[in-house]
Amino acid sequence: MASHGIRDKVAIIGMGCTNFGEHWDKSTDDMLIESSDAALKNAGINLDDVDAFWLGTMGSGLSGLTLSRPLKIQHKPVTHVENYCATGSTPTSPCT
Amino acid sequence: MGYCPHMTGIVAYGSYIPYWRLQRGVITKSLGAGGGKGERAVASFDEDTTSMGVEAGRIAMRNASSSWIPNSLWFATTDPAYLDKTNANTIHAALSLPASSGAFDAIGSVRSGVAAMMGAGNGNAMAVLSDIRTGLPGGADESAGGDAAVAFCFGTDGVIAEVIGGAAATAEFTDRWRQPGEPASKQWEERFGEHAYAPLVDNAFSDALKGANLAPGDISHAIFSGLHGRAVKAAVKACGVSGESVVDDLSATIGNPGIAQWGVMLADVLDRAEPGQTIAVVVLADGVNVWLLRTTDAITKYRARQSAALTVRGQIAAGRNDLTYTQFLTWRGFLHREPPRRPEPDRPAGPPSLRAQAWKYGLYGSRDESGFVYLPPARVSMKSGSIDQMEMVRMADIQATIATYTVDRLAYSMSPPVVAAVIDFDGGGRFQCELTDVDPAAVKIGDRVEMTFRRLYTVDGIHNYFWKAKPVRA
Repeated sequence: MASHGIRDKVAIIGMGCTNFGEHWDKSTDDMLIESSDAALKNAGINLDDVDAFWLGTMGSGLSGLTLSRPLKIQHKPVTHVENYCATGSTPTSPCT
Repeated sequence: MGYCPHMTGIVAYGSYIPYWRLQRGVITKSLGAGGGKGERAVASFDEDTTSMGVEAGRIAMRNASSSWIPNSLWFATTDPAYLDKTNANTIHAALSLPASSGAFDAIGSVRSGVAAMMGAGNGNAMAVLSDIRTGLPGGADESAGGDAAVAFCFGTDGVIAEVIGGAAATAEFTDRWRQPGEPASKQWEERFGEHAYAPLVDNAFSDALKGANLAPGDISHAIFSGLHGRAVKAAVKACGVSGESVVDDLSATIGNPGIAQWGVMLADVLDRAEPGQTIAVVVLADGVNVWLLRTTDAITKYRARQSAALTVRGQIAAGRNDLTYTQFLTWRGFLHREPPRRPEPDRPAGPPSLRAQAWKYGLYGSRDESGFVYLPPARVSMKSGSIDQMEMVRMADIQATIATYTVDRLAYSMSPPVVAAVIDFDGGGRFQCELTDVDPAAVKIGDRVEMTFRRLYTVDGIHNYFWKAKPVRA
């Protein structure tokens, strides 16, 4: 059965990732800020250029507020996605 | 010759008398026994010796010169919030003292307060004495006790009272004792304690006077303090100071705040002493400690800067005395009440408490380039999107105005109802917080509030300290 997705019509243009470790000195907010800032710089765009956000987390907060609060996102849709261990890939699967 | 270490002088001080009073007659009416005349000060359900120590410390530091920074903080109480964990650290954090300052507890005995003063009288340092005193319902300790805190800043610059002498006398005897964890102390027959203290008073007082070349008549303000009422009274007589020099122990209005009693009395004296006056402090606590101090010319200018509302008598006058006996018993843990039908709060977690230390203890917000103030502090600017371009601002000593509020009778609280308010700080910053020391029926939009350091609740033995707002009463 053919997929009716948007595969090959979308590109990953930037990526940001924190170190993996026991970050006693970094909160959820701090890691979101760090990785988002790295991704935006990697893509060469600003936060304002982004039209919509999907945040995947299972244990670190509910709703899109978990992302919009620390990043101070204004007037854009932010969706919280959760799928146990598949949480990480779920935000990107709508794009395939 | 008694023991009197060389000490730096007092450069600033602050007293804290909690808002609530219990009329002793209310005890008598409820139990048909105990109680008496007058009132005693009562720490609120959300206060403990640490939080009261913070309040006294804040007032002291507000009165100290901005260039005065303590190299250590010494905290003394007979009712510590923690064992093992240093209570002074919480005060250190709430006063935003530098990391290079030490913070030390001297806890457990009433005489620990003397140790704290000696420890602090070394260079630039601060001593904080704080106590919550009560006893079994209907007993003398319950009605005679009081809750209060006091802080003294020591240094060499701008001394308002210098230490000119002192002495000590020590003897081992069973006067008053309490096992850790017990809610009340026990006392041997009072006449025994009076007998044991008498020679110690004589020795320490005469040693101190001899060492400073003074006579009892040279003393303008004589402070006699201790938990053994009869022994203290006898000491007043025996020392031969003039009747008018004897300082009111304030027991009629606030009771006896144990470790903090002589400190509160000393603060009261400094609130009104003239320059060049000699003060004697005589503390009866498992021995006797005597200090001799003399006020300097700097005290007049110091007092002119001080707010009248924050003096000992100013705070005594601003108290509220319609506390019920059942509320008092509940707050002090003698009445285990049915909790509200709400989930218990989570215990405060270690890692976030450390990461957010500036916010949680120092009430620091952040201000971005546009001047907008974020509470809690943020890293990203809402206006420009810039990251880590913030200036940290300590909000604890800034007043605010109530923008709106609600009275919640269902929310979890040890003393419902919860009054929650949204407050706007002078100079910017909007914050939602709990109001305390407040009459829910009297809260209005537009009321002025100031921040106060409190203990919100305790879960799994961990105290959750944070800030609330209370009405400005000055």
